[in-house]
Amino acid sequence: MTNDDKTLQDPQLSELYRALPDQQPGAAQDEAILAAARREAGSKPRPAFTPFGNSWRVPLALAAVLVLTIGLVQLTQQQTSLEGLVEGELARPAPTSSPPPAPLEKAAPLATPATPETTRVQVAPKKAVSETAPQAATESIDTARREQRQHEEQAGAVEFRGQPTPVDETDRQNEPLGLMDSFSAEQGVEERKLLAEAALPDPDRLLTSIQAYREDNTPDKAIPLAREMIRLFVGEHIDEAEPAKVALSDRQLQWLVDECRALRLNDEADALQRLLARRQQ
Amino acid sequence: MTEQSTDESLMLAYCHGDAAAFEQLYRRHRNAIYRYLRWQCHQAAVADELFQDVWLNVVRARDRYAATARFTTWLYRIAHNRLIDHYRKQKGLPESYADDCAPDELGDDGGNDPLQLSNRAEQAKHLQECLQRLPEAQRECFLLREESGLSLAEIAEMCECGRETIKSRLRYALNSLRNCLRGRL
Repeated sequence: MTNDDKTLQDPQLSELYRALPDQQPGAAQDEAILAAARREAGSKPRPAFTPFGNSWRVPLALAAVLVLTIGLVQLTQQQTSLEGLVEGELARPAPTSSPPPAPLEKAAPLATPATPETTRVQVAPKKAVSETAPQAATESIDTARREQRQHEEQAGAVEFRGQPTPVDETDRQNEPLGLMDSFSAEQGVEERKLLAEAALPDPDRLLTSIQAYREDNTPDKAIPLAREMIRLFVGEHIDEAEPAKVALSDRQLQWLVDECRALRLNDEADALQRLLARRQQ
Repeated sequence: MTEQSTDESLMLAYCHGDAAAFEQLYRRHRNAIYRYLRWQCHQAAVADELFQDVWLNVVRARDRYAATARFTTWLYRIAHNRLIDHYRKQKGLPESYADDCAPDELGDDGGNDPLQLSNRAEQAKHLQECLQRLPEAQRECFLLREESGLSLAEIAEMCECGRETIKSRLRYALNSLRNCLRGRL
């Protein structure tokens, strides 16, 4: 309390004021006020006024989240439509580093039993499986694996070597490289078709992806994909490839030549052009 | 909550739903608030209405109460604002609330000390009459000092005016009351 507070006090006047007759509110007022206070105590206090009001916060937040989610989903779908395919194809094991197995009926038994590493059937990873492939195809792969292993155990071992056996051109274009060769002729034609459909690296789809990446000015994606396609369908050494064994039609081969030229893969383009010429001779 | 609980802790308890805390708080301040309003508006019915409004405003505004301020300051500010609203709806804000308002002097300073008078009941009756004759702003300062125990600075903050203004009003109020009592006795 300051000096002013003290000097402006008059104890005698204060005492006189206290002696005035007391004035109090009525009991009814007490009851009304206390009842209101008890009633309000049971409810949540009303929020302070905000410019947009609290009632808008939740709907506004939900709407924002919804819009963002839809936008992200659309963006993701657009990106994965091409990338998913390409990454799936790139993830396939290269035939040179892990050569496709020869058909069982042609495989010569080895002196030592095969290890699980060497007997692993080359099935395209799940990423490579076409999204439209029926579920039965995936199940067929598992079944084929089991049967293949049983067969291998009976046969003793399986040797994986060499280039895949030439097959019908139509089937060749529709089957993953080396996959069909790993199954015996005993396995059903229907199952082979399902497997081919499930793990198919469609050359046209690959070429479309290469073209899309190139036109999208992303050669860092188009060039590896083109090289991988050459490796898968032609082989490491293009000039040594046998034209009849190349699992690409003339049209697809020419398309690949054009893409390589556009991507300035001139050596590959020239070699592929020579390969095409040899085939047409 | 005990009887020794501070006003602030009681109010916070009420903010968290303790109705008993509010009742305790109400019992502490009901008479003082009522007298303050009753003196300032003269009519019992109006004072009753204002009194109820003040406490209902306390209930409604509980979520805006911050324990950083004295509860008494907060409570009397609500009462003061309600009173000013009442004045404005009636005849407008009294002139005495203007900062440059010339203070009224009640009665003559006769030099007699009114507090030496022997009849206390008579003195109180005269004080009542003198209080009613005080300008509203001066009377408010006197009542706030007597009823709330707020300091000059707190009253100034509560009324949103300068401390010197409050000090001046209170000085005039005290002098006027003394002069009034001397003149009547």
